[in-house]
Amino acid sequence: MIRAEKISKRYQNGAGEFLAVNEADFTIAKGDFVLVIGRSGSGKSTLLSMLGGLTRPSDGTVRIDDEEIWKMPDNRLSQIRAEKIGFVFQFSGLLPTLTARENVLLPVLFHRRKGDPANTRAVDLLRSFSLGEKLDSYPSQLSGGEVKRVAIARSLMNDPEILLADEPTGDLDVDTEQEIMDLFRSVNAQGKTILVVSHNPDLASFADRIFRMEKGTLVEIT
Amino acid sequence: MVTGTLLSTSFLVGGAQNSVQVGMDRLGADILILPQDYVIKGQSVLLTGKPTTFAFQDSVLSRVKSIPGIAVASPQLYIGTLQNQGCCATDLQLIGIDPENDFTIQSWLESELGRPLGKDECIVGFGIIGPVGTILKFYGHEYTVAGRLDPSGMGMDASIFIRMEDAYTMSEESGWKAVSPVGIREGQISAVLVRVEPGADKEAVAQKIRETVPSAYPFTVSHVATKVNSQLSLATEVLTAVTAAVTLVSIPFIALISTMVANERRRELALLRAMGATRLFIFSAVFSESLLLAALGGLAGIGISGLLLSLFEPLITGTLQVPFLWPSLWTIAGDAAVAIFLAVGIGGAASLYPAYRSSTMDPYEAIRRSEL
Repeated sequence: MIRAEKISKRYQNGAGEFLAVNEADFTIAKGDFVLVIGRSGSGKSTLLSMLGGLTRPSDGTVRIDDEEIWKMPDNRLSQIRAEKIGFVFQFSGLLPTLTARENVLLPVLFHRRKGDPANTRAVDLLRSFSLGEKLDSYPSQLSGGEVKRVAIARSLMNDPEILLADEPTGDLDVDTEQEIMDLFRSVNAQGKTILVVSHNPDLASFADRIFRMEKGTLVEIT
Repeated sequence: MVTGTLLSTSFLVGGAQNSVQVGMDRLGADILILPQDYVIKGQSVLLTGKPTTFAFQDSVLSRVKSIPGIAVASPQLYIGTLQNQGCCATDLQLIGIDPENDFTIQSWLESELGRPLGKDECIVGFGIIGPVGTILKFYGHEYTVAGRLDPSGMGMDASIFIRMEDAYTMSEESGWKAVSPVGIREGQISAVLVRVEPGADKEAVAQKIRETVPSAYPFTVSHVATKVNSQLSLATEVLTAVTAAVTLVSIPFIALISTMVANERRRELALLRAMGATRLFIFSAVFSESLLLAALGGLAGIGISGLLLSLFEPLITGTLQVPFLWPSLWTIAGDAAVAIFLAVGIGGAASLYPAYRSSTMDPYEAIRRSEL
C-alpha cells in the first residue's frame, strides 16, 4: 500500500519559487492500477518520483506498507527501492553495452530474491514478454516496443510489489502502446500495484483509478 | 604523463648512480689522483671512456705512497688510440696497469683468467667487439684479447687494459711503427688509484695528498658521484619540474574529466539508484573507475616512457655526458610501482568530488536534466 499525506514539492527557479506538486493526498491499495494524466510540466513525474523514493518532498510524508520512506537512512530506502519498487521510464534506460538478458539481470546487483536462479528468472521474464529470441540482442538491435518490454521485464526482475511507470508509452506508436498497456494489465492481474503517469488520456481505459494533475494539484476523476 | 616523467627521472638518475656505483666498485679505489691540468680529461676517461692521453710531468707515486693512511697506491697510464683500429670504428682508451699493485682488474684476472695478465695480452671492456684470442693492433703493437669484463656503464666499457710495461714498449715503438707517436716516456703515469687504510678518513687523506703533491688533484668516489649528479642536475630539475607541473595540472584536469564523465552518465547512475543502488555504491563505482583508469593510464605512461628510454638511452646519456648502466629489474619495478601509485593517488584525489556529487545527486533531477 502507498500512502501520500499532503506531499508538496517546491523548486527554486529564476522567477522565484515554483510549486511542482501541491499537497497531494491519496492512498493506493495493493493491486490497484492507477493512471495519473496531465499535461507536460503539470508535476506528475515529480509526484511519481516522490512516491518511489527518488525525490524528497518539500512537505508531507510518503508511506509504503506503513513505513515512512523519507525518514529512512539511505541504505534502507535503497533497499525498499530494490525490493519493493520497479521503475519504468520514458527513456529505455537500457545500457547499450549489455544484452537484453544482462540488462534484465542488473537489479540483482542490489537485491537477490529467493527462488529461481537470477539467470533463469531473467530468461523466463523475457520469454513471457515474447523476447525469447532476443535474449542476447543488444538494445540497438531491438525495436522501440521490444526495448520497452525489456525495460519492463527489468523492472520486474526483483518481483516488486509496486510498478511505477513514467510516460511508458510516450514515444511509441498506437499498436505498440496497446501492446505495452496490455502488458501492464497482465502484470497487474498478478497482484502488482501499478501507477502510470502519462499525458495521454486514451490510456484511461486500462486503469482502475484515474487522477488528473493540473498545475501541481492532483484530483481523482474516477 | 606523470608516470612517464617520473619514471624517466628516476631511470636516468638511478641508471647513472648505478653506473657510478658499479664502476667505482669495479675500480676498487677510495681516491683517484689525476694531474692538476688533466682533471676534466681524466674524469671523462673514468665516466664516459672518452679517449685521451696525458701523464704527470713529475714523479708522484713514491710521494703518494709515503703519505700516512694510504694502504695501496696503484698507478695507471692512459693512452688514447688512433681512430679506425681493427676492432672498432671509434678510437679507444688504453689503460696501462701495474700487475703487481693493480686492484682494478686484478681480482677479475684471478677469478676469471686464473693467472696474471701476460706479455702483450689485453683485457677488453664490455663494449669492445671481438672474441678471446683476437689480435688487436694499436700504434703498430699487437695485443691478444685474453678476456672481456662485465658491463659497468662507465668509461671502462670502452677501455682496453694492458700491462704498463707493454704500454711503454708500444710508446717507444710508435715513433717508427705508427703514423703518430704516443709521446709517453717510460716511468710516466697518468693516475694513481689509492686505497686508504681501514678506518682512515678518505677526505683527510685526499687533503694530505693535495698538500704533499701540489701537481696532483685527488678526488674521492663521493666526489665522482657528486659530479655525475651535478651533470644530471639540470636534466633532473627539468624533469622534476615537468613532473610537478604535470601533477598539479593533472589534478584539476582529471577532476574536470571525471566530472564530465559523471555528468555524461548521470542518467545511468540515476537509473542504478532507482534500481536500489546506495549512495556508497555510486560513490565507489565512480571512484574505483577513476582509480582503474588512472592505473591504466599510468601503465601506458610507463610503457611509452620505457620504450622511448630504451630506444634513446645512448643518445640521452651521450648528450648529458653521464655514465649509464641499466638499473636492476627490481629497481625499475619499484620505480614503476611508485609512479603508478602516484598516478592512482592523483586519479583518486581528482575523482573524490565528482564521485561525491554523483552519489548525492537527486536521481529524478538527474534523469529529468539529462532528458532536456
